This record gives sequence, structure tokens and C-alpha cells, in this order.
Amino acid sequence: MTELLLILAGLASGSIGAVLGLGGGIILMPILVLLFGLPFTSAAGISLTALIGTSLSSSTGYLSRGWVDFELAAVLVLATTFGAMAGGISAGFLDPKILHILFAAALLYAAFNMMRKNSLPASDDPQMTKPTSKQYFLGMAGALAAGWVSSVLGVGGGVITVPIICLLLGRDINIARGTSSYMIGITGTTGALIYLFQGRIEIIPALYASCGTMVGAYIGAIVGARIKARVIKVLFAVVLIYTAISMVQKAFGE
Amino acid sequence: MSTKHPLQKLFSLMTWGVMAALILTSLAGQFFPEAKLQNIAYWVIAVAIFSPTVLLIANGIRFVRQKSWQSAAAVGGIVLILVASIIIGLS
Repeated sequence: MTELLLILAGLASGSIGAVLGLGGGIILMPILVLLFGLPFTSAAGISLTALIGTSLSSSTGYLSRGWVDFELAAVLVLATTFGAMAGGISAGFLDPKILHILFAAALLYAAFNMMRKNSLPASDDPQMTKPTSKQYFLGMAGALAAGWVSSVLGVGGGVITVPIICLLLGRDINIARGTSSYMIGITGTTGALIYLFQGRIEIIPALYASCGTMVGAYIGAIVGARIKARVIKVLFAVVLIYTAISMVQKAFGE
Repeated sequence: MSTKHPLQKLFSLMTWGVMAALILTSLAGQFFPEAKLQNIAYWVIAVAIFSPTVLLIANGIRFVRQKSWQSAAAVGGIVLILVASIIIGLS
């Protein structure tokens, strides 16, 4: 029964993550912590592994539509990976209470971001202009922060990288989704390698969750290109705010 | 950006391979003792975790062939960080 629930949790997180260009950890983490009662660091290890599955499936789907900009991804991932490595080292030293509050803040930020996404570039035109030096600098700084969030909180960092690519680098939302999907896999790998070699990944739950996320993200990448994302984004923002409140309550032991 | 990317086949191969391994291991897990499943699942998870690295290196080789040195250098930097992550994990 637990196995089935983990697969279903993975399916939900993978499919929604793929539609929005996220890793899906922002959905999987609350489920693992609140529903399964796993310690935060254990849940982060499982989530990091599962988001790699989301990234593989969704970036493959988006690549077939030409929505992955590898050159942009390589530069941004370098900054993101530095952040993730710092996060992987600092995760074990941070107070769980602080982690919960940070995670709640990340959720609220994501909810705000979802609501604002309607103002982001919506062009389907894949033609892109080269970002200026200033845009690259701002993008790199933002990607560094995204990497740290990814590793410390076990989330994909896509909630930050998508607006970075759209707002700071001026790319359209589809390129942002596709490129972010590819980026989160590499960023997640940095954190996941540390967790793996330190033996901090609970292998069996990670297996079932990853199984769910890969299949979910594959479906999500197909469906996501066809449905109106606006409705999903608004509903998802409500879910994020509710989860953020739950995490704050857990941090203060209520 | 071409919709028929040269790396598309490699991405598909890795994705389908990892997905099949995860699904088969999950299904077979019902018939294996937990210790054996743990051992097999560890290697499947390890392959899944290393998959984006394989794709990244493939991209790096493509950047070198295209003489896109900034992107190739970025990929090289990421690979060094990934190696550092392994060293940190093992220490």
C-alpha cells in the first residue's frame, strides 16, 4: 500500500512538475514529510532522486519540441550547481525548524510566482535574442540562489529558474520550461550524489517515487503542451499556500 | 533551434532505459527479499542519478565540436563540481 502511495505521489509531482517546468519536489516534499512522516533530510534525499526522473522525462519531451536551450542551460547550470553544492554541504548543519520555515517561504514565493506568470512573455516564437552581459550576470546570480534552494530543501529550483529565464533573460515561457526541466536534473544530481555516497537516500522509497515521477513527467510533458496552463497555475498556487501554512505550523509544533 | 536535435535520440534512449529499469525493479520487488531488492534498487537509482551527467558530457562534446567554447567551458566546470560532489560524498 505504501509503495502504491509513493508511486501515486511521484505521478502527481512528476506530471505537475513537467507541466510547469518544475522538478516537482515542491509537491513531493510536503507529501513525504506531512503524509509519510519522514524526517526532512530523508525526504530531501528521496525528492532529489525523484526530481532527476522528472527532469529526464520532461526534458526529453520538451527537446522534441525544440524548447531546450542547451547553451543557456550550460551557463546557468554552472551557477546553479555551485549553489546546490553549497546546499548539499550545509543541509546537515541546519536546524529542521529553519528548514521548514525556509521551505514555507519558498512555497509562498512559488505561489506568488504562479500568479504573476501571466505577465511573463507568452510568445511561442522560439527565436531568441542573445542576452546582454547585465542580463547574464543577473541570471547567474539568480541561478546560484536557485541551486542552493534545490539542494537544501530538496526542491527542483524550477520555481526560481523559470522566472529567471523569462524575466531576467527575456526568453519565452516554453523555452523557460524546457530549459529549466533540463537544468534541474543536473542541479539535482549534484545534491543527490552527495546524499547517495553518504548513504542518506532511503533507496526503496526513492525507487517507487522515481518510478512515479518518470511516468508522470512523461505524461505531463505531452499533456502540458496541449492544456491551458493558467487554470492549473492558479489552483496550484492555492495548494502551495495551503502547504506553506502547514509547514509553518509543523515548524512551530502546532 | 532545430526540432530534430542530434541529442534527441540519446535523451530518449536514456529516459526509456532508466524508466524501464525503475518500473521492472519496482514490479520485481514484490517477489524479492527486501535485502536483495535494496541492492538492485541501489544500482538502478545510482544509474538514474548519473544519467543527467552522461547527457551533460554528451552536450559538452557537441559544444567542443561546434567550437562553442564558453558553453564547453561551462560544461567542464559543472563536471568538475560533480566530481567534487562525489569526493565530498565519499569523505
